[in-house]
Amino acid sequence: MFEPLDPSFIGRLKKGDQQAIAEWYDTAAPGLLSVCMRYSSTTYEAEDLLHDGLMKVLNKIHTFQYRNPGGFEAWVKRVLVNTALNYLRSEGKKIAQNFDIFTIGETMELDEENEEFPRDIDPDLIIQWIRELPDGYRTVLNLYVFESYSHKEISEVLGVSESTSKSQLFKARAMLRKRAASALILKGGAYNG
Amino acid sequence: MDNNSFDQWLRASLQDHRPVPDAKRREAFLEASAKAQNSWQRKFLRNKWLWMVVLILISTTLAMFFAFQDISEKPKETSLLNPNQGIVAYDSKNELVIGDDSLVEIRVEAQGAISNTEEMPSVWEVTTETLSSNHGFSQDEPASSNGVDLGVNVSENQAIIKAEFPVGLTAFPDTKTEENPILITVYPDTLQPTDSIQHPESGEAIRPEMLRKKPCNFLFSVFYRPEITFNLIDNKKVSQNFGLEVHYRFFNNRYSLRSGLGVSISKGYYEYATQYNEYLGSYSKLDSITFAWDDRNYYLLPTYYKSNQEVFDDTISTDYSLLYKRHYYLLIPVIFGYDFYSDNNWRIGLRAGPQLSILMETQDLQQVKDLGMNKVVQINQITPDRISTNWQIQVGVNIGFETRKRLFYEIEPQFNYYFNSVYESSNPAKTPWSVGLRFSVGFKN
Repeated sequence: MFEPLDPSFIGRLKKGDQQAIAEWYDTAAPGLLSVCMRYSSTTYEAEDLLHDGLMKVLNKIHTFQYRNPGGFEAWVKRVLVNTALNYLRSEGKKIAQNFDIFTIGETMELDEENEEFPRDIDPDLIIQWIRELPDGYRTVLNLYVFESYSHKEISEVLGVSESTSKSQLFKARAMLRKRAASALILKGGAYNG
Repeated sequence: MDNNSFDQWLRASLQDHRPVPDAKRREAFLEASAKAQNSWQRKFLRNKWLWMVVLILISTTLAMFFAFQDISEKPKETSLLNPNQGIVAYDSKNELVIGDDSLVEIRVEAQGAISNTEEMPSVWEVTTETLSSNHGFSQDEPASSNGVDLGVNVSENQAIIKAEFPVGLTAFPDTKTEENPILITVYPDTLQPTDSIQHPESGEAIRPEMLRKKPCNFLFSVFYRPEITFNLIDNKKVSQNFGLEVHYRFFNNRYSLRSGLGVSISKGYYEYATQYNEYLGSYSKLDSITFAWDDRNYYLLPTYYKSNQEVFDDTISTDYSLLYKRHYYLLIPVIFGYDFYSDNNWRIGLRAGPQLSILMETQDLQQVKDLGMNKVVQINQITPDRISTNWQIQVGVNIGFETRKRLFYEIEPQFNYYFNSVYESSNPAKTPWSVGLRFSVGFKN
């Protein structure tokens, strides 16, 4: 997802080289904005998160020790995700609660083997679906599917039980599957994972 | 994380999702980062210079304390001033019992009862009376000639008198009473004898070292050292070093320890590889056409909407450029010395010890090359950055010349060996070494 940066380039960022910072922003910001958009309700909010996250990165970059290619990008992404989680907490959003209120209809019976998903779907549409998920569902889905957290880690980060995490993930997937199925019917093409 | 096909589909769908942030947000971020950077730099610089100032102050204070400790001690020769008859001050030390042609500087200080300058004796009379007995000056022999009114030189409660020996010192106070005498203290500060010095009674020659005060162990100097460093990436570089030093001499003045603070300024080049897509040109892209029907001429009037499109080569080209930077290092040497030859004026000896260099600041002297219309993909710095701290061993031959006054001069050819590379990527084959020539001027007590 992110091109690994050269250690010397990271050195320039550490020194506050404005030219390097501008280049880094142009390269990294689009991918990181996509991450922020998954956690936020609006693009404006996502851009706020991106700004705050990147400033945190620059403020703490002197603590970063380069060890392997891609390490810096992973660290930056983690800072952004933490910024998003802190934002959700500070906003008083109940990340891991009240998902039952939002249970919509019956859970679909899944036939995972023959499951098909729409191809070439507009990523903004998927972002929109994720944003429409309840906060708790969305956060668990983001952490599990995109950030590769385990349920145990999610339970520690969000302060919920592992079973709650699993339950929220299951329901988040179910809701998104419904949307994907609708889109598949409308578009016709299919993606086989 | 299980290998759920739905999760895979989600990830694959968003893999190339790259929404571009709003241009104003970009500007806001760059502005904020520049401000933050300035504040980091200010904080760092403030701390850096603060610590430097503190270090200099501490070292100067300690040096001054040790250097002038002996002067602040109370002298032994004191006399009571009788306001009615005046006093002849004397000194019992041999150093002051010297021949006719010697120039001496005596600091005279009135203590105790004097509370303001009006009470200070207004006239100090300096005589060339003959010495008597072993104590230099006698009250029995009147001090009469060469009266010098030093009223203008009397500050608070002390005066500096320069006179040729033998000298008698008489003060004529006019305000004090017998019940409240003034204590007069005579400080034999500095003696600057001429060539012919003889003891007034025995006629024996007095060696100059007898006339000197015991030299202080602490000495101060400022130094300047041009230096050429070899085995750097850019082969060899000249650097300028200067600073302040404190010397401590011990064991018959043959051994010494030298430390202090210095600044080293050097330039170095950095190689950058800029990857870019070459600009090939531009064309007007037709975005849309609208037509309007001209009723009179039965003609369709087209309106073309175009936009300018720049075209870049897909191939990534690389441009290599050199950029000069200036480095400021703080130097902290701890140099031990041994003088294998010394006389009254000359010293020759060996100096060796470690020196710590701390990179304080790096200044860009140029900007990375502007590639014009070409689209820059990435800029990579090929030359590694300088390491922040570096240890060296310094060896030199010191030649010193001391004047009869308080000055001394030193010249010292030096060799420095760096224990590690000056670059962040360590390469033992690139351990630098340098030669330099240190010039210093110092003073002693």
